[in-house]
Parts: sequence; C-alpha cells; structure tokens
Amino acid sequence: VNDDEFRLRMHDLPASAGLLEESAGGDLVASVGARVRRRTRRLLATGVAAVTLVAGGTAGALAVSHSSGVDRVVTTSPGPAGALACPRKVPRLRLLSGGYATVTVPHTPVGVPTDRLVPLHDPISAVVCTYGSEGLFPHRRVLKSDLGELASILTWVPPFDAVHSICSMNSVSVPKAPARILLGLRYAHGQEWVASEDGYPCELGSNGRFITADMDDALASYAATGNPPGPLPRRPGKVSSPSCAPVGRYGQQARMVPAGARSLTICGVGRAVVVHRPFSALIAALNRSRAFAGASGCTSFGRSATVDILVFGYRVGPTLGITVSRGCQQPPIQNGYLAADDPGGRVFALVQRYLAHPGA
Amino acid sequence: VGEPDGFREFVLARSGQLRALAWMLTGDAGLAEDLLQSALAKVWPHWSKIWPDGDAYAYTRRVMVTTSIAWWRRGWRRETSTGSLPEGPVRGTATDIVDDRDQLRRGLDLLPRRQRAVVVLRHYADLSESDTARTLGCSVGTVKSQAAKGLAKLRAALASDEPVGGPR
Repeated sequence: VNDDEFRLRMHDLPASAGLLEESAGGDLVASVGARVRRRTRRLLATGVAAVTLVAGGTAGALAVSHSSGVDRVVTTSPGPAGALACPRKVPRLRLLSGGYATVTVPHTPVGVPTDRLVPLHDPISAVVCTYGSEGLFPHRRVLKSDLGELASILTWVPPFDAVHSICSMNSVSVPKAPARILLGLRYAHGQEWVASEDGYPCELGSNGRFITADMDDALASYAATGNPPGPLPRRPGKVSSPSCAPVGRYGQQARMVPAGARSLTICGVGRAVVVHRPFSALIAALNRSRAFAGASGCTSFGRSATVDILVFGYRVGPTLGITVSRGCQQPPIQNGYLAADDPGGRVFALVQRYLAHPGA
Repeated sequence: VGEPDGFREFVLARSGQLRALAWMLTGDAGLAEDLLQSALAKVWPHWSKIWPDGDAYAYTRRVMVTTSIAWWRRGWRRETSTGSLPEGPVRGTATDIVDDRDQLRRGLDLLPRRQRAVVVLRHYADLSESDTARTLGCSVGTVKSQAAKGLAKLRAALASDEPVGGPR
C-alpha cells in the first residue's frame, strides 16, 4: 500500500461509516449551547474558578500593586532553587472535610501568604508530572511555551472554602484510577509545587496550603499535551468583550465585584447585551448590598423565574460572573462565593435599564 | 448564555468535517459526537477571539485533538483494545474493499491515542508535518517518528491476513 493509496483509504473511512451524510448542524449548535450553559451554571453554582491547580510562587512576601488599576501580585523574597524533577513516589491523597480531597505536594511553600495562589511572575520553567495506574514512574512533561498564560491562569484562581462545602458523589461516575498530577514551577529564586487529581469529582487543587476547586480543561490540556487547548490570538491593548461563560477571579470571595471591571455583558436566555454606557452605578449597588458567604443556584418551585448573568471583563485576568435573579428561593445576587439580597430591587432595576438602553 | 455571532454558520459549514475527524480520532460514532460537542463547547467562550479574524477551524481542530488525548490520558471513555485484530479477511474476494476498511479501522484502534492523532492529522486531515506538530504541541521529529510507527502498524494490518497488533 503506497502513501497515496493509503491516504485514499483513510479518506474513505468516515464516508463508509455514513458520517458525511449527517447534517444536523442546527441541533448540534443547540446541544453545544446546552453544554456551555450547564458549565456556566456549574461554575456559578459551586463557586468554582476556572482553574484548579495552583502553585505558590517562589516564596517571599506578596504585595499588591494598584499602579495598573488591577491587582498584581509580586514576590520579593528568594526561595530555594533547583531543577524540577518529578518525585519518584506517587503523591499521597489527603482527605478533607466534606468529602473533598487534595494530593500532597513535595513541600509546602515557605513564606508565601496564604491568600494568593501564585505570584504574577512568569516561571522560568514548568513541568507536569502525571502519576497514573499504568506505570510505576511518573510521566514527566516539560512545558516549553505559554508559561505566561499558565501563570496568568493560576494567579487569578480564587480560594475554595472546603470547610463549609460538601461534595456529593451521587450520580457521579468515578474512574477507577484517577491520575494524580504535580505541577512544578521554577522561578529565578526558587520553585513551587502544586498538586491535583484529575478524574476524581471531589478533587481540589492545592499547593499544600491554599486550596482551590475543580480542574480546568486548560490544565488538563497542559498535562496531556504540554500546551493550552489552543493558541488564542492576542490583541494587545484591547479589552476583549467577555463571553457569556464567565471564569471567576481572585477577589470575588471578598467583594461582590472586585475592582477594575472595564466591560459589562448581560447574558440571558438567548441573548447577550454588551453595555456601552458607564455602569459604575451598578457596581456600586452590587457592592453596597450586604453580602454573605453562599452560593446555591436558583430554585423557583414552579414560579416564573428570571436569571441574568452579569459578566464583567477586566484588563488583565479572567472574567467574573454574577447572577441576578427574580422568582428564586435563593438570594437574588450571587457571584459564586458571595450572595446578597436586593433591597428595593435596585440592582434588578439597573439591569433592566441597561438591557433596555445598553448605549451605542 | 448567548450564542456568539457566526458560531452557527461555522458549525453548519464545518460540522461534517469536524464530525468525521472526531470519528477518525475515536473510532466510535457516539464518542465522536461527544468529542465534537465537547470541543465546540470549549471553543464557544473564546469565539470572539477567533472569529472572524482567526482560523476557527484550525483552532477547533486543535481543541478536538488535545481533548481526545486528554480523555485517553485520564482513562475516561477509553475503549477496550484487545491488542490484536480478529480473524483476517480472505483475500481475492468481492468483500476485499469492505474488509480493508474494517482492517484499517481496527488497525487505527490499536494505535496509542497520540500516535493515532499523528496519523489522522497527517494522512486524513492532510496537514503538513509542521502543522501537525503545532496542533499536537510536539516537535516535527516526534511527528515523523510517530507517523512512521503508526503507518507501519496500519500497513501490517492491511497486508496481513493474520491477526495484527501487539502491546502498546
């Protein structure tokens, strides 16, 4: 079989399976949309940020700089240096309260404040060590590119409150042998390790102290291929319009809308309205609401309920989503970490006003 | 969650190609549909960055390939491989074409997922070695070696009347 003949036979395979006769494009879009909505609801309902695995930076004091209008974390103190070699021993699982678990790291970061996962520094190098059931030794993958994107993702991961949460394993299929993953990051003055388990539904990422929830597809892709899912075209200097699938960002655990929001998209069923007029009044109303910890989705008990998602975009880092609902049993304002009432319907009224008059 | 501008048109225009590629990567119609939807759902949030200026098809293709490899590495949805092909076809009959297809399909099923992706991208999607390397995030040398190994196994599957396969 020469190359041309082989190629012809390869091209013939899908057609012989009858695949090319299907043309369910419309249904496919609807199915994909449903998946995106489920994912969005899950993210908002559980307060999960987009990415899990987290590394502490090299050590040292973290400071917050407001010079650029957004929170930027820097590290100042040196830490231990050295090559990133995967530990030979399979990392152990550490059980937490509420049914959650984390994977242990080679060493807990020293000197890194507990309220942030990783400094906004690009690591010099990074490795992903995957411990599966297929071999005694870890699979080591060196991440050669997009380390800045990796750092950017990890920097903005909010913490997860495992103490007051419960992971329900009902109706969740658990793979027989979840992979345990260590991510090693090397900086000029030290290194950090972050651990996660890929495949266990109650997994949490941790650097040994800071805990965050879920395992993002991007990190799974790093573990599988050494790269993010795809090279996103960059448009420097332009604030990108956020989609209706908010990610979540550090700061939302303490404030309904963290500072620095630059764009707003209001997403509802079948529509997304980009607001082009100033929306500081809305942010003020959201942050003025008395917020308390909690995220519980919407249960309408048969009543008519409306849920809008406010997606705030920032100059740096991921988007933030806030649900504003009416007709639900739960608090009408939620950002996945915090919930609040809407006294007088002030926030709801503002949202309706922006929907009716989004500006130019 | 609003549908991004141009997304529907893209899906309508490219879903056939993408579904076929997904099938080539998985070898199963159900898994292929799942892979296709998963990939499109991952692309959806980034649509404004790749449409209309970017190459949405190449991006979606890459997401699909990396997702299929990630599934395999995670141990999810992994098909059972017997390590050898069942009884081979009887050569010289009118069923040769159908049998060849079946042999080729089963031969693909025997390849490790990453090797399968290389073969599919090179010889089905007709990507160059460098484009295949870019899609998979590996070196051109890796693409060459994986393609050679994969093709050797597939040729053996097509040429032999005997069960073909072996340990991964």
